[in-house]
Amino acid sequence: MIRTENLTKTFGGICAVNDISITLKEGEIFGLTGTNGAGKTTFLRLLSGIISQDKGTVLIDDEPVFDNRKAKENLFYVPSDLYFFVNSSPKDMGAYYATVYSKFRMDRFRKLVDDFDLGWTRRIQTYSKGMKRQLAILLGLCAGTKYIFMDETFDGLDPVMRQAVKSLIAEEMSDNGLTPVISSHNLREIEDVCDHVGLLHKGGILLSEDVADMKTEIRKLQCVFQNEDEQRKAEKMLNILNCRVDGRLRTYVVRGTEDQIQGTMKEIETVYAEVVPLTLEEIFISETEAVGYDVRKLILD
Amino acid sequence: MTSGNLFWTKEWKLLKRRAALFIFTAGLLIGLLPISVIISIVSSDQHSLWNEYGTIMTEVMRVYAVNEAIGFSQEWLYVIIALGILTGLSGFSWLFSMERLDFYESQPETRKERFWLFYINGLLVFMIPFIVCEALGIAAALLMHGMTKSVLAAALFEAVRVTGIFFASYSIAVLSAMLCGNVLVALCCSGFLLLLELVTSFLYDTYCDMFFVTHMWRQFERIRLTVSPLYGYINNKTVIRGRLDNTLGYQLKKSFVLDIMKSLTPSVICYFVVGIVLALIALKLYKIRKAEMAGISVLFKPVRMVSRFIVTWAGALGCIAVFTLWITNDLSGRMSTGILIYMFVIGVITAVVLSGMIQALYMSDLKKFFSEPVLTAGVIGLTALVLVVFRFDLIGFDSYIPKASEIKDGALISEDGGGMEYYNEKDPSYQISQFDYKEKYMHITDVEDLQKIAAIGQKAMKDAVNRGDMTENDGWSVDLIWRLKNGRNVYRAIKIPFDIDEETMNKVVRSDGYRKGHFMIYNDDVFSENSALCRISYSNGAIATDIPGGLYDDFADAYRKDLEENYNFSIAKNECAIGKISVSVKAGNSYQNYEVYDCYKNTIDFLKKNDGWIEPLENMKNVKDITVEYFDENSENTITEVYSEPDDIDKIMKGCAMSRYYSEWAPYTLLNYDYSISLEFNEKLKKGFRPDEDIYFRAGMVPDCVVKKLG
Repeated sequence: MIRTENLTKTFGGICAVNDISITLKEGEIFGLTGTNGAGKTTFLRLLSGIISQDKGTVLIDDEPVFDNRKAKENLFYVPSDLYFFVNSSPKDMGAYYATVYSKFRMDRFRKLVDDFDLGWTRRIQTYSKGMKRQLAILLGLCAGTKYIFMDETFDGLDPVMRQAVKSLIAEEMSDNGLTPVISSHNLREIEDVCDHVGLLHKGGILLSEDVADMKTEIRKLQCVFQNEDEQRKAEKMLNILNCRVDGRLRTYVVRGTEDQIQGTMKEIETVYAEVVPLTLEEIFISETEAVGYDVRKLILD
Repeated sequence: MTSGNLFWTKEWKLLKRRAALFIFTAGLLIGLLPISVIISIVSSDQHSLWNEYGTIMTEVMRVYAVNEAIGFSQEWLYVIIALGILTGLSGFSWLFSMERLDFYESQPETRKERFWLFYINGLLVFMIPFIVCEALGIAAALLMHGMTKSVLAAALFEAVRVTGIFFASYSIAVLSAMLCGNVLVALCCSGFLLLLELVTSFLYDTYCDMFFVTHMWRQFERIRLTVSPLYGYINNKTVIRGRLDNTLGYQLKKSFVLDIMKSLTPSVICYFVVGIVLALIALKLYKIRKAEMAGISVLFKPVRMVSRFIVTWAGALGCIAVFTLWITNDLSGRMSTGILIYMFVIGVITAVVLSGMIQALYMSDLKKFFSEPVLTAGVIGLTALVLVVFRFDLIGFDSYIPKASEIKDGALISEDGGGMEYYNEKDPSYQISQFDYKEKYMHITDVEDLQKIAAIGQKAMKDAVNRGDMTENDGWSVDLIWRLKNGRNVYRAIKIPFDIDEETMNKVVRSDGYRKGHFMIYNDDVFSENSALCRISYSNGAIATDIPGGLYDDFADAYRKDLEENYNFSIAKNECAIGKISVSVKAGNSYQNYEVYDCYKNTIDFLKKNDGWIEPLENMKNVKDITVEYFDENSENTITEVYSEPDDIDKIMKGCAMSRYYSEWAPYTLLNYDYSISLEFNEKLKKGFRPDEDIYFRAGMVPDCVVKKLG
């Protein structure tokens, strides 16, 4: 388990990570999202023990991670800016990591490199950006660690490779108990892969929930009322987070399950009413607007 | 795999990744060591062939060539320092890149483990090729008959010294990497650390030299223990070169090698201590260094401030010295207010520009040039303070005389030296400087009288400089050494006036401590152990003769007795010697000259007993005629006159004396060197006697007959 308590990190006068207390359970994929400069990379570096916190604690399996060999044996960090030795090949990098991580699975790594057609002895500096990212992910997945932290994981990967990587991650989770922490700008990718999502903004956690819970407990209601009285009646009965008006068509973001909302709408006279699921993006926008942030300015598509 | 094996596996893999640097280092060392030996020997043999040297000389030259390549005289150790810096900065360059820090710092390794992995690897990158190349160099010298035991000892010792220099330089680079966030600034930091001590020492000596009349420049007179390997190397090299140039025949004798090794050993130990200490400091800094500092110029604010301050201050002082010496090279004591203001202005301009440039470099922003002006103002203030302190000698440098209770003993070394030569007491081919000899052997314990002389000498020096007319006619230029009880030596240059109270000088010059430090006859193993090969001759300035061999010890005993009974300042200053004894050993490679005064009864008896006695000039009866030459500067003609009248001959002989070249207290004005005198004798000189031409008129005693005819 990864646990942070009051985790704070400041660079110069800027608070990059601001008092984050969070628990990441094993066996779940945690997705970290936020705008540029939100603190995602800094948070991952703190988890990886690359930088030390100013305040608070970072514990991996109850061990502080900074400058701690034992804690770091259980984690692998795939940064957004990758580094490989000059003139090295996957074989060389594999051999290096085999000396670093005692459980590194060289055979599996070799097989995956061949499966992904990366060229076992091909020089990495001839790779494209996407290929380098693939290689870095493969190295991480074969390191035999309990946790893997991946920053901007899917950047540069084509859709086919993304699926392949997702499959691999899932396979490692089920076969070897791997717990990934993935950061990305891409909410759709996060939604697709992650069990638990955290939204970072200006160093702080704005939102942290299970994806399934988020989707279950918040819905979009599109309806056209018979008259204004029915409209007012509905708005009193529903827990509305957000409303958009388009002529007579009203679109509400409503907190509640589908059954609850439909049950309520039976008592309202409408011309048309339909409950549809929200995307993660829509959920975030609504939730954060509810706490006073205009997240439309923040979330990038 | 055990942790030890794993460590060396990682080291090996890291070494393979650093193959480029390894190959570069190996290539460089191959050229500097074995190839250099081969080329040196071939070149030396060719030189010997062209000059038709015999076998022995050829071997001597070959040995010298090998010493130049891999012995004490190596000129290329700057390369080793540069290699140390390159290896250190390249090995830890990953600290400057966040990408590489992400890579390394996330791995299951403590910082301490990672530090030693990279640190030791850098040492291996150098040591492996160095040991191989050194062995190849020695093997080449052996195979090409250019090796002796002494050269081998020198080469092995030098290998240890080179390792120490590399180690210290490497640790400086690693420390710089810990202090800085990018390679350019780390390189500047390495340069700063290498040069700081040298520059500080030079600046101090330069300012002392500019402002203080009694300052003695002793930068490269003796081995210094230094933190900076660069300063240490320059100091060591200059001292060794000075000593090597004194070794006649370049034979690299055992005594010379042992002497150098003994001198350099503390320095070598210092390099290793510096290397270890700096490595430990670097490790400590690495443990507290924040990874996010990658890219920042100098990581720690106090270091930024201190380094900026020091560099600006040193730069200001340095520029002042350069620009001031450019316009005049003689400032002390007569420095006008105008020059002082000029110096201050130079200092201000330099401080502002340098401080601004450094700040802009640190912040990577030219707009920060004028930021933090308080620091610049501080530098300017301190520079002004330095100028005032030195100009008005507020530290009392020129009037410094240690308290009697602090002084162990002292030495008084006339720069004229008296024409004496000094040798290593064990090796007649190994000449040493007068200063080195007397610094070792002269221990004057009459502190009170020495203090009096020092006070007079310091005042005379200051007065002469202030008048602006310091010449030989002011007095004797003397180097004064105070040896303090706390182990420190203090050096001063003073001027003892020709009219100093003789009684005070007699007390010091008569003392055992002075005598035994001035006359090599008290440390004369090189002569007494080779007594049979010693050649002794005596001359009264006009005639010379040789004394039979094997009598050195008898002569030395007699002369020492005469010194103890008679030698003092008054004699040395006022009296002209009636003759001189010259002693040489081993075909004239080492020799000494000792003046004989008419009160030296024991020596005179020795000469008479061994058929070596010659009457003093005024008593000589067999002079047929005397040729006197005078060079007229106005007409640029040499006027010659021959005197044959007995009366004239008598007056001339009574008016002349043997040269005073060998007496350190003889005023230059005691003899008149405008005339040269040569004698013709009535009869052929007896067998074993030969003419000598070393006589001059005493000052004020040129006979009228000479003055009238020659001027």
